[in-house]
Amino acid sequence: MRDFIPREVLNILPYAWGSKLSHLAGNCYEIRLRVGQPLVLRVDSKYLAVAEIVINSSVLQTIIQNICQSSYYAYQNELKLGYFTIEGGHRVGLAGQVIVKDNEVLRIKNFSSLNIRIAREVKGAAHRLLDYCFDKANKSLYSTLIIAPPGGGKTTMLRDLARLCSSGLTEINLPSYQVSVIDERSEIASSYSGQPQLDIGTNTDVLDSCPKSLGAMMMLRAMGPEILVVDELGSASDVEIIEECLNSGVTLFATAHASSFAELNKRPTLKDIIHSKVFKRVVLVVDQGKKVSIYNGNGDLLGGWQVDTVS
Amino acid sequence: MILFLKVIMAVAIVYTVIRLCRIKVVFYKNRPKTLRQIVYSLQNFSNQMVFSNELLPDIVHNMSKENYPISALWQQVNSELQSGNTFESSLEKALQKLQGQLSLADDDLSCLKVLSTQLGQSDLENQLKIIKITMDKILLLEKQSEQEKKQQVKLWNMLGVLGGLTIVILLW
Repeated sequence: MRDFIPREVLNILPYAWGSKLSHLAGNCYEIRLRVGQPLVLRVDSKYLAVAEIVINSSVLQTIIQNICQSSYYAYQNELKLGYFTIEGGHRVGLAGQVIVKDNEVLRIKNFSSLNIRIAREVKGAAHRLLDYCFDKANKSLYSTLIIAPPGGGKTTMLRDLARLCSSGLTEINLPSYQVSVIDERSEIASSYSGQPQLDIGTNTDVLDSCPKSLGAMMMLRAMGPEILVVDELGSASDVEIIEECLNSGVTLFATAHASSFAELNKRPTLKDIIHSKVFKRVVLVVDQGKKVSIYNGNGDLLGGWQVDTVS
Repeated sequence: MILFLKVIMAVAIVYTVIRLCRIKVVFYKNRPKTLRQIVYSLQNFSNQMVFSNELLPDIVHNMSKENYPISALWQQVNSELQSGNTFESSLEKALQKLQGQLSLADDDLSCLKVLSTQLGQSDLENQLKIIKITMDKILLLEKQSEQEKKQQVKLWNMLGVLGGLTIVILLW
């Protein structure tokens, strides 16, 4: 966990803010900027307004200019999707006026809000999860779905699970697996210019900014993975990935938005996935990994843990 | 002795006037070449934007390492960019600083200043259009500069010699 605002984030912010923010930013997860409002830091679970920094539209424009390095053409896709991943793997989300053509987003302009999410890497977050996901007798891994509400810490858990399986863990005789990550939104490996910015293990290949359904096929054909890692299942095309994995004998680690096992069954696509019993383990993460519950494919609780602080 | 000094002075005057006119000659001689190099640079911009999706500062950095006269401009732009300036202000500052060294007329400079406000500020399709329009303008200016070169180089060379001699005759 970070107790400062990383250099890469300070680099995109106006220079004068550095000194004002540095002493306020213990355990900062997010920086929220909204036109006409003071800057807001999310420190631990609380939101802290910095009254001395009031945001105007030209400041947002300058920050976007700094991120794009005067090269909007190179960030067309990001401006369309509404977020940038900057050096260090930090995520900058955008809101503003959306230009739509033929029911498709062309880009966002006249920015009104930015949300800078500071990339967090919690090594060891998934260590205890291996007791449930790794079958020591058969030396095999179970396909696992990690669920949590937005900002709940599921990607942090997924990243660490991928890292541990990729590097192996001698304590529990976990061998190192060939891991392929399809990082559609650059959140798992937090890649910048194609290079992973966070530790995702020694035997991991990353396909950055690639749609899951395309990337899964590419990785299965090209890299021969033993484990496939994807973030945020939910669309109809995601079912294809699961079928492909099943047919090729690959273990799948994935995440989905849901705040309980019961809620999974209410979402049409995810309901089908759960009913197909592909995932032998479903992990519910609450409050950034502070509470973890593990279910089997039928929704029976197998165990879990609760900690006061994540270390 | 006086005659000898007069001759020396006359030679010095003619030489000085020729040298002064030579500045204009060099300008007219180099301008088409410089404009061709700018077209080459613009071609480079569009290639690197399309094929490698390079950022503007990286393209400028690559061009600043090339060994041709206009690279002095890109070296200056590169150093301005590294000091944290935007591309627009970097190119403007570089053009201002190197105005004396670059053989560029006011029309050429204003064309580049317009480019500086637009480059990097829109999507790829638009960028390529902007580069194409600028290239067309510069090619037109290059044609004009070739014609000017033919006329002006002769004119300023003659003016140098004749002007020098006229001053000498008047002062003799």
